[in-house]
Amino acid sequence: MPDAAAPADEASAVLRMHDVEVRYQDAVAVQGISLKVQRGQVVVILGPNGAGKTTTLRAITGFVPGDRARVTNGEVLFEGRSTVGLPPHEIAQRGVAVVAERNKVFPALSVWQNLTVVGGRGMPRKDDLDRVCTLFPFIAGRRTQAAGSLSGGERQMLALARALLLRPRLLLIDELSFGLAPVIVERLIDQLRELSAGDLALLLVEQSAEVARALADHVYVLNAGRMVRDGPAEEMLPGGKAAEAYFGVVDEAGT
Amino acid sequence: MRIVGVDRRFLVGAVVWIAALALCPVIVGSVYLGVAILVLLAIPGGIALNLLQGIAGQVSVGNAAFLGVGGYAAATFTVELHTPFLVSLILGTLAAGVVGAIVAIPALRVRGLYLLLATLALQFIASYVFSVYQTAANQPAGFALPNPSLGGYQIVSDNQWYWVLAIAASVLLYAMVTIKRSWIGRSWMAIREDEKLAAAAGINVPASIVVCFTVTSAMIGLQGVLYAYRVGLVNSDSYTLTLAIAYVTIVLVGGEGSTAGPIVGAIVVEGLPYVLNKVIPATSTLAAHSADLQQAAYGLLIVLVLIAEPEGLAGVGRRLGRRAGAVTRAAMNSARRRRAGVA
Repeated sequence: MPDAAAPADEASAVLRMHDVEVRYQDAVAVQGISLKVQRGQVVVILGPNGAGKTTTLRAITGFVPGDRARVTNGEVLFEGRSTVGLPPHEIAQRGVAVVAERNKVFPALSVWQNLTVVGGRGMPRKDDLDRVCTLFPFIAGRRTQAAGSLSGGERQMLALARALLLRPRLLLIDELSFGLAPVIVERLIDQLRELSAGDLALLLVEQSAEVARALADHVYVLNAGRMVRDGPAEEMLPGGKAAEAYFGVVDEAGT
Repeated sequence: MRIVGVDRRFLVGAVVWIAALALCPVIVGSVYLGVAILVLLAIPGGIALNLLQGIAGQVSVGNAAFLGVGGYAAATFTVELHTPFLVSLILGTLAAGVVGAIVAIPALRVRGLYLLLATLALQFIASYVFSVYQTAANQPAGFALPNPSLGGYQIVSDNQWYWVLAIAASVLLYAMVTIKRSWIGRSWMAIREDEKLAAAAGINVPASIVVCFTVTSAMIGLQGVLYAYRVGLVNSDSYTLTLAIAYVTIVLVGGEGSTAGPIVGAIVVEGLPYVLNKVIPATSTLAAHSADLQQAAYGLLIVLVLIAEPEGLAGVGRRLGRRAGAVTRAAMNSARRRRAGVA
């Protein structure tokens, strides 16, 4: 993987991971993870179940260390500053928002209460709230409904809305399409495309090549805790010349 | 940013509360004013525990200990340094807040049942420290407190006490509503629901929990000072586990997290002994064990409420209110339709 990036390239990198290793107790979960996300770019990490995708995200959001896991090697830089060892709320306040695969919303809180849970800076600003309500129109009619009673797609949108209220520069999404109907995934993809047209950088973790095909500028393929390949989306996805790394048998590139 | 939006619900609640306070002495008469005073005296503790347990999800039976810290701090300042009532009130409140913060730091490491056990340990430690302290301070029978005075007026009569406690309860109710509606209350609710998700939303979870313990301990401390002055004595025998459990009962019966909960809960819990006294013939065997009976009744009440109405009695009231509203609206709509049909 080319690491010697040009200074200009470096300056526009919102996120850079270099040779990151995470261990759960003594077991290595991921190793040698290096990746880069530029401003306004959509990067997708593709990989099968258990490849270490969620662990990679956790290393960025500060939830590793925690649960007896720790970053044992490498560095994670958000906007040039290391985030390793920072508590999750501080990383969130710096501008890294995350939509987790499970536990996306506070189920007993109303939709509106969910949106106004933003730490550190008081209530969200009204224009920010207006913006997410425009982006996700269903919110307007459901303000007082308990978030736990929303459908899967609505929860995903509410989680995205809440993440956006942090005014992030980097948005991490774990399994955007998981458990959702294709029509809802399409709608979400449209909304994300709109968001990334601004400055927002997106890093998605996916099993689904469909989502990657629809959104990604750059794809990393993760398998058994290691990055096996990376490249522009058109090369990496089915039909592309490096696609066999994920879609075929894992080749020697992983070793 | 508006901390409290002055909306209809808030105004209606405030008007009902003030009207109830004004009418209560007239309705209950001088005989039961003492019970009304006990209810008002219990409300601050109910509010504090409602915030800690109902809003922030931190279970605790340490409230009697904080009640004691408030009481002992105020008594020490009053007896040793002759501080006026208001100064003792503030110092007692602050002392409980400081102890709350100190206790919260180790408590951060435990959650749920373990937190409950840790606060139980706090209760026993506090009990021991109180009794050692009062012996060391040469007050083996406890600290006797003078009648409090405010602005030159001695607070002696039940009527005066009623209004002093009514003001204290009102201030704390307002504080609770303000906190619940602010981003601080929102972040406590988020922590109660899902700590990891709260952290991902940018909430400093450990700091929020420490703040919550500090604020609610200070509130209980304030109640401890008022309680000490009302009784006129600070004695280690007063701050029992039974008392702590009575406050948990207030919160559970009233409805965890609800605004009316501490009021409803305090009325039920403080009123129950009087109802039991009325119902049980004074000559019966049961009457001889009234204290045990009271405990059993609290226990039964908690179980019944948790089974039948987990949102507490305030939840029942809310639902009835909604239903009444829906019935009224339906009646008004059908009347409107009828009129339209006739026209």
